[in-house]
Amino acid sequence: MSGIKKNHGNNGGKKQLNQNQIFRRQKVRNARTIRTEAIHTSNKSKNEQNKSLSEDGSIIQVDQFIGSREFELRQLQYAMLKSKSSSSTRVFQALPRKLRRRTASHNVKRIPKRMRNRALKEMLKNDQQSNVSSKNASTTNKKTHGLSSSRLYRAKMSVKLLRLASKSMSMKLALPSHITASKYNVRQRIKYLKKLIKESKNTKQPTTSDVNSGRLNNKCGSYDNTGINKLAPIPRGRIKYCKRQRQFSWLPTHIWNAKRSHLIKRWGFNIPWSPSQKCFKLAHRLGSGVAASDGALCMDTSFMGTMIINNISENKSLLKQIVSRLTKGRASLSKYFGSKNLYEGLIYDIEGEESKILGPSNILWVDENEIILRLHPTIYSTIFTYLTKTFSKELSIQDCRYSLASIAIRGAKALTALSSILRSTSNSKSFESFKRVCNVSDYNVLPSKLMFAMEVIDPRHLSAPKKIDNKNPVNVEDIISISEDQSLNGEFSKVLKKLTTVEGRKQSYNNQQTLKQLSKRRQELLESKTIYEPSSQKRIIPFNDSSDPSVPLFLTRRPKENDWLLIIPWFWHLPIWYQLNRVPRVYNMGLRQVQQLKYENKQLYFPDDYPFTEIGVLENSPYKSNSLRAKWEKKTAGKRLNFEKIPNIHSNNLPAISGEIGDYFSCDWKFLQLVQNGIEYLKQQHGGNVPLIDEKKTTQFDNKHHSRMVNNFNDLLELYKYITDDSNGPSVESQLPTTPISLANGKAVLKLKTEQFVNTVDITKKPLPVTAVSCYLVRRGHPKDNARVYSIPEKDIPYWSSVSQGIYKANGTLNNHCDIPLPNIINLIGFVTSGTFNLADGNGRCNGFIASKHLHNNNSFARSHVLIRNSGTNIYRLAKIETISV
Amino acid sequence: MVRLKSRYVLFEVLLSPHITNADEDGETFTKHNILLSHHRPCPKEISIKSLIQEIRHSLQLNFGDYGSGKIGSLLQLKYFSNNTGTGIIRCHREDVDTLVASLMLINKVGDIENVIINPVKVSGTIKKIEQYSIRRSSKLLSLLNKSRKQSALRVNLIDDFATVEEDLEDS
Repeated sequence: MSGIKKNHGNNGGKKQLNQNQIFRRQKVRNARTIRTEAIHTSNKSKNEQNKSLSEDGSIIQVDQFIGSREFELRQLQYAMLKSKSSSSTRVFQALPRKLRRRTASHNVKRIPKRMRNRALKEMLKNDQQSNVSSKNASTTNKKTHGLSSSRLYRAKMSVKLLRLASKSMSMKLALPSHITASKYNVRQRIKYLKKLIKESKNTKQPTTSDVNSGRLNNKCGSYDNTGINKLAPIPRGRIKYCKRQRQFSWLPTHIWNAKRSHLIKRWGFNIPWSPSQKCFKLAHRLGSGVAASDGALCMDTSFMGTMIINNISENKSLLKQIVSRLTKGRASLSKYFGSKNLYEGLIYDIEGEESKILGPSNILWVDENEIILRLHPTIYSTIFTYLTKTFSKELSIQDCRYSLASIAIRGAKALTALSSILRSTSNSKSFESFKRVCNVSDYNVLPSKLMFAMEVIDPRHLSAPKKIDNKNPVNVEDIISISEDQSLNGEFSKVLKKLTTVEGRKQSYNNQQTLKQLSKRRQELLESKTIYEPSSQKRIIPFNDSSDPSVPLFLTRRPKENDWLLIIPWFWHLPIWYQLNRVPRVYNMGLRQVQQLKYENKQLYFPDDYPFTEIGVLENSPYKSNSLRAKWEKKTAGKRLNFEKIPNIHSNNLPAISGEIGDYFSCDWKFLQLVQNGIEYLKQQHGGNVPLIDEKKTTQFDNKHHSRMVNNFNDLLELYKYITDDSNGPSVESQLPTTPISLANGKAVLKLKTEQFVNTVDITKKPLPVTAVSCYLVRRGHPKDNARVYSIPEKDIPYWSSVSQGIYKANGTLNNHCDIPLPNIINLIGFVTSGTFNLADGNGRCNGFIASKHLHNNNSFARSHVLIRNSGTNIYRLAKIETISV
Repeated sequence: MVRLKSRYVLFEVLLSPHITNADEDGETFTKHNILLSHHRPCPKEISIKSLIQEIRHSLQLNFGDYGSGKIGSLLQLKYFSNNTGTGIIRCHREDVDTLVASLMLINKVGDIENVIINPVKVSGTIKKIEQYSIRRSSKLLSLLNKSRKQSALRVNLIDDFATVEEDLEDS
């Protein structure tokens, strides 16, 4: 205590600073002072100044005035910068967002090399323990346990197993009594270890299929994992990580993405969901095809399943017939079959009697007996098992889910980025034409069918990505000539053959080199300077034709998706990915960004915007609605929105329903189907009128059909409540078709017939035809997912058309606070599947589905406009609609 | 913890007009001449020290012991440049009105009489003051350039008229 008192006395109550603190305080003080210009010699004293003024006149004065003010301007700007930089005391705080790492404060290896010395100094100053205190620390600490990671894992596992054996009573009892515990332990241990060693030896050789058996041809452990006429097994990763990949296998870039993105476990894969860094605006700017794009967005799309189908039967047109049936005659058109355009469209399930839409697909005809089919993982196995089962003799199907990887890349600099990392192995016509168009940033000038197939060298041969200099700018003749030699002959088919056969892919891994081997070669080159003479060859390891592997790759433009698709062998994905992400202004994206870009381009995203498919229904109703409901239920009753008590939603109240309609957390397609079919039924029953309620009667039962009778709209709502109530047993739900709606697209909308409803069972069974629309909010506000869509009631058309023109106040500003007429519940025509504020429009926009009947409305204003209300609110917004073709 | 809230005041020192020199056209009271004469560089006698002294004096004179004691506790002259006559003062947030009033009441600094201290801008952060000052002086510069150009333009216009007349005569 006395010591403290003494200190107080000495310093006058001030805290004593140490040397470092004094230095830092001084630094801040220095940074904050603004320098002033030295006083001009002319105005050193008052008398002199007066004299100079009277003599020299205005010219000198003006120069001085300007000069000193410019000096001040610079100094003030500099002062702002200085005080900003001085506040960051540690070097990693000055790094841009992209280069910041969570552990940078205590691990210098997380900081760029040029800053490491300063970082180390700062760590020492703060008495911080660094784990890289000296350079040779890593070499000395390398092998403390004397086991490699896999062996350690094996040893640990064996210990665990031994423990289990000793603890388990049943195992002990099973042993003969004359074996003692001590004896048993030793023998058991040896047995287990031997077995483990044996197993590990076996697993070093691929046993996945007959074709794959044999030794590996490279040091990286790359092998071709293809299932022929059966599904391929999940790829073996490193032993350490194989346990975590049992249910959800990893993409080739998993570890890279795990550091930079949020991942989700879905569809049997660990898929990047969204980069950890905020990127809503960035994704819009780079990927949305706007003029502001000055970079590229890439995504590892290896989770999309690829299958290669070969026709091995006598019947040459068999494959064409199958494809025709799968796509309802679309992908077998001569545009795709003959001209070999990439087919981007719907695929159908042809197993049952009537064909159902499964989802989107990509089909490319390699030749008349071979196609490449790319499918979403949710629908992949359906098609695969169907084809293998029905055409086991006629077709040879390769499951390339784990042997062909792909990258989707978009944005103005997509081709430039690819061209700066790819170099062809030999003279290649495809590569030449690729080089010619690689600097084109607006893809609309390129032909819609543009494909490149070439063999390139290992991208790691380049020490850093380097742009290809194009001396001559691309002109119209170039583009025409490129589009002319797009036929898949010669070199094209040769490269595709390598990509589509097991042998070809396996050959590409031959002598694939590890990073160590490559850096050793680079070191040797650096030492023998003679080879480095020509400046163009600088920093690239020359390609050795006889020993180095060549990578077959296929690059195609996808005009509908507005991006480029790169298909490569699975184990070549990572080297390309690493180099690609070193190119400036290339960013990674995830599923969320894909969805965002699709939404901005008024396209539908699978599976969220495909409610007319089984997968889309599942995604909407149990998956998304459950997660939203769980979030809602987590809140206390006072804090969460009470959906049942929302007032003034509709113009009239029915006793069967109160507050929000349908399921609050999803697009309730079942409800829409009941409402729309029920209205049609009631109209047929009552000669065009829809009675809302009969005050004298409650719901009656129809004994003939064992169902509720529907005599008015209120009965319909009661029927909905009965169907969705779980306490009535699941049997009611299971009788119904899984998709309550069906897609009416393009011409089908015009041909639409009114269905005949005989009884109430028809109401719940007949799927409702819907059409995809994009809605643009005319005035303020933005729609959210699951918003409700209403048609405009006939009596309110004058009001809403005046809203679309704008209702103005006396002072000329928009009046946004009018009393709006409410629609009725029978005006419900659809739901919004994805909606938010659209950056491309600078306004609210949404994609959704409405009953196709709405498009037959006689009034043109009512036909082209709808009302949108977010779930849980009672505010209606006017929106203009345009149909989306799927 | 409560943060100390402060305000920054941007001011400029204007000297008494001193127009002795005429333009090329012979006009004395042009816009840019008046501007220049007000924004003459301050003499050496006006320094940070003397300015602070004068402000404290003015506070004492006009607001008494309480005013000077209250305001003077946190009064810093952050920046002052003689050549441009601009400066930045920092004070407590509550006292900014009193300070501005006292600045207004100053009419001499040291021995130099007829001085106006013009408070230009009050802000909560020094960064915004700096940004404003940058904007303001670049505006001043452009104004000056404009008035110079205009005088040049005037000469040209007169020339033009002469040529036009000649053309008319020819036709």
